[in-house]
Amino acid sequence: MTDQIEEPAGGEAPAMIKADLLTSLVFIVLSASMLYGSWTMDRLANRRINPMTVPGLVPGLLSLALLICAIALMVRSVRTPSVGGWLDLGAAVTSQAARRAGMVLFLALVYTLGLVGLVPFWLATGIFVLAFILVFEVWLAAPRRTLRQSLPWAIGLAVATAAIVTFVFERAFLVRLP
Amino acid sequence: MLDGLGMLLGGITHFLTPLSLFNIAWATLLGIVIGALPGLTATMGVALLVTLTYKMAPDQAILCLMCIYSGAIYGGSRTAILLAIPGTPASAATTLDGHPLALQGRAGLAMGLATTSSALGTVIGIFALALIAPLLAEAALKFGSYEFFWLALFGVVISGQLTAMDDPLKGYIAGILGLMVAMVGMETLHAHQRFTFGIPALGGGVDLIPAMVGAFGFAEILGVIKRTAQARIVSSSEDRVVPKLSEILKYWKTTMRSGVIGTFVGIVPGVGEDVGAWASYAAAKRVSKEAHLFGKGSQEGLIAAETGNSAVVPGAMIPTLTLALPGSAAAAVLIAAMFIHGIRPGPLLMTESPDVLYQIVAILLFSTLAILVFGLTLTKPLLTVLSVPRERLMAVVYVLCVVGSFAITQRMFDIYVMVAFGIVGFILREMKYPMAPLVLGIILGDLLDLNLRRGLMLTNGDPTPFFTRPISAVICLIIVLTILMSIPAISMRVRALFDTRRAGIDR
Amino acid sequence: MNRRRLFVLATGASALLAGTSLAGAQEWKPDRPINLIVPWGAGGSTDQVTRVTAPILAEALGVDVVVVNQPGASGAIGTQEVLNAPHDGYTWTANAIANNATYSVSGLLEDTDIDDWHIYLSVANVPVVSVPANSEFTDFGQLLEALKARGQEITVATAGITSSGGTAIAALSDAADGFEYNMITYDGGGPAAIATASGEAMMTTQLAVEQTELIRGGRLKALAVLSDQPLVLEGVDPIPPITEWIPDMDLAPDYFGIFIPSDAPAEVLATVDKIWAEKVLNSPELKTYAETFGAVFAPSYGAEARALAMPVVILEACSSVERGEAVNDPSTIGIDCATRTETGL
Repeated sequence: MTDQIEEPAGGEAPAMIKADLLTSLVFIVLSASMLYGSWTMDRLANRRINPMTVPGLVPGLLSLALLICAIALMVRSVRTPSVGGWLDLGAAVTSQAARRAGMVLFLALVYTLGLVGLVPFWLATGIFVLAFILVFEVWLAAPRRTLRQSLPWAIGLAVATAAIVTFVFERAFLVRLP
Repeated sequence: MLDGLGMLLGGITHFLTPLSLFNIAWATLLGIVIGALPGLTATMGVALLVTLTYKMAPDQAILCLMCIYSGAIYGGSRTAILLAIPGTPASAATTLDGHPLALQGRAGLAMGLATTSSALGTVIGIFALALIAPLLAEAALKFGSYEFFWLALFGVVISGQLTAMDDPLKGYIAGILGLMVAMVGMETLHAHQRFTFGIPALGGGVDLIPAMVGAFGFAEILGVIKRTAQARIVSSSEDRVVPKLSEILKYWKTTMRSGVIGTFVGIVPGVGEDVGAWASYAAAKRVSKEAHLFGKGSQEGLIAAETGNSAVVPGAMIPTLTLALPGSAAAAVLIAAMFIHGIRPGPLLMTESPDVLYQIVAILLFSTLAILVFGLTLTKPLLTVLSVPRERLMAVVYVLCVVGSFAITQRMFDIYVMVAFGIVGFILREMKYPMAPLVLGIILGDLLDLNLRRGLMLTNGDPTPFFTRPISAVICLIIVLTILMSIPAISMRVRALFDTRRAGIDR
Repeated sequence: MNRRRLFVLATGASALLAGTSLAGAQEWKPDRPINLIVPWGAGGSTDQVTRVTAPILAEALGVDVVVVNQPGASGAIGTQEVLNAPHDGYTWTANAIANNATYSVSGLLEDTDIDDWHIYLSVANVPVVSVPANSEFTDFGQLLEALKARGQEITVATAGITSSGGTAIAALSDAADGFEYNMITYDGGGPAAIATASGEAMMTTQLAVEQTELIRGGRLKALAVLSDQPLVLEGVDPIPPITEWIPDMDLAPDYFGIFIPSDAPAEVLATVDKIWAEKVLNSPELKTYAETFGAVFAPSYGAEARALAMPVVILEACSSVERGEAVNDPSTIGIDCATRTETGL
């Protein structure tokens, strides 16, 4: 398990510190652009509203707060020694575990953005459940199962989920599924 | 007083018919199921049933709706404990300690404690409803924009405190991110579109439900599948569903406190079960002797969260019945339903038909009993969920996340929100950012923003009332003290001061 | 040849039927639940009246009419959803007509006007001017003087500029030589009324239906109703009409109702027309609702409803221009604000 960023006693893992450095930069960009957005937001002067109640007030304050926190995070991660942090971080994002997460994401996106809406909901759901179980039991599993072991379960669960979810939500809860 | 007791007995016997008991049973069970499914909320359950109970007799219809309501608030704890996915926003705080308990092989105990705590919370709220409803409702009216602003700010400070154990900085960042998310969409004060980038669907803002289902649900799925060699959760042999009496009584102070907090949150219009749970949880953590266990499977934390959210239900009925002001979102739908059935809540209810109040009290008592029965008997079968291989379970859970985020408003946009929050939530969780402040931030963002600016609008820009109104001043003081106490140097000195004093008395 | 004659006969008959009334059109038998989208939150004024109306329709149609709340952007988001859904008669919306018909003027929706909808109206709601029970003002005359003298100091609680209350205070100001006021926006008509009752705001102009319980409970003092008739509420003194103080004020009752896309199948509209005529027009539930909540029971449908609704649509569209909020000129939906009439497109 290369990616499990374990905390060694007395400090953060080097990879985590580098990751913090990266996110702090992201947050600085985010808060700075939101601050700019709040500052340039319409002050509705033509409606003669009180200047203390402009829509950009609270977003501006929040982005300031995030900016301060992000700078604090950046300073902290720059100061903390982290030998080999970049390499560990690189290993973490290319590890087998990360690939599994990426696969979930891929399947989920194909299901929600592609299948749902294109084919009837029950069919999309059945295909997704079937693919999900097969991928993670037969292909990306640590002790792999054979197709023959997994397939009956996968088919059974796919049919059951598609049928029950469609029935319960459309008939009992009167939700019009996509 | 005696009159009241007589009417309460009347209310109880009124519902001791086979039909009523049957309705209580199915409605509570349906409520639990709705609550347990991620995305389906108590409000949605009640709104749905309004349509279906239209042809029933008024008392039976209200009976079903109330049972759905309290069942759903309780039901959310099931998935929160078993899967770390809160079934409704009300049980988001339950995940913090409920799921760690399940990971320790004590899911049965966690669900049992959640059940008894929910029941006790409801009972505390029922007492308030039956005894001092009109007085309490009056107090709630004293909460105006200024007070709501401080309450929201208090929530933000709490969210930092909730996570102070691990890394407060990341807790605050997550909280601010949540607040920022709440800024998206049309702000209602001047009807101005903020950060919508010309996307019409963003005009309504980011809905809490899909965001929560994504941040807790989808992110959890990604996390669980990512870890290959994770030990399967096995119910340990010591685990049992029915908690010992000593376990319940051990934290009686927490139960009482959370019940009172929850009831009060229920009474105040504009905040609901979710806030009740968070406030109770934070209060428990603040005063607990075992604060270091919170978030790592503390029974006290679980009890606080579950007592707190359930006490909101009877609490919310107080202004609903006495002032016709909904104390929570689900109560707003209940008012509409009551009207359809010819019951008119409001200031005249107590004089015109006082028996209605006591019938509602009786209904709540019955639904509490039903929750206890279902909760303690159906938990064992629920535990088998834990033994399902997670590859299979997670596929089904993702389908539920998709349907759940879609069900409320029936827009595809909400599914996209769920996916987006799942991805961002997953990345943040991998870097040890807590999700709780993020969700709390989304809940509180509007409250904070609108009430601050509304208060300033009321005074033409003068902030003095924020400090001079009595309730405002008190909450403000509490916030200042909370922040001061969180600075280690100060809290140490204060503690030292108290210790010397106590030592002086002992001598 | 036989077939041909039959065809001619059939078209002739249907033309004849269409000419007289739609009642003869084939009856519509829905085979699944109907979604009735309320583009406002659960428990609000639109939601309440819709939840009273929905069961009547459900019973007559024999399927469930499911009320779905899709709040956001002053109702524009939910309305857009209905317009996007297939116009097959299974997706309806419910709203105040003044909002529904002016979304393109306020810029919240593109290219939509009143003729996109087949209109079914159920009740008309009137705004009521109220002050807290312990207010310094005891009648509307005093309040009006104060507004003219020191308007900026008077806080008015409403649910927003586009809400009924916001429109009402703007119309009052127009009618009384443009006094100033400090409008405070709340998250709905109910919260606005509560804030006034608790003394946070000095007055409110929200709908009667949102204030009735507070007026009855003695927490709000109703000073005037924006109508030319007094408003009679069970249990309290009749509320005097605004015309006692401002006789020449432009008044237009705000109608609430259910709207079906006008290009839905003809049999859908015909069937709902029939239900509206037979069931809703004399519905005791709606009547009681109107009486208890200070609304006016005024059901109508089709062309008649459109004619009744037009004054408030014109008023809403033109006052949004005067307030400087209009994104598109009302002429784009066929309204001429100089004459305050409908010119058509």
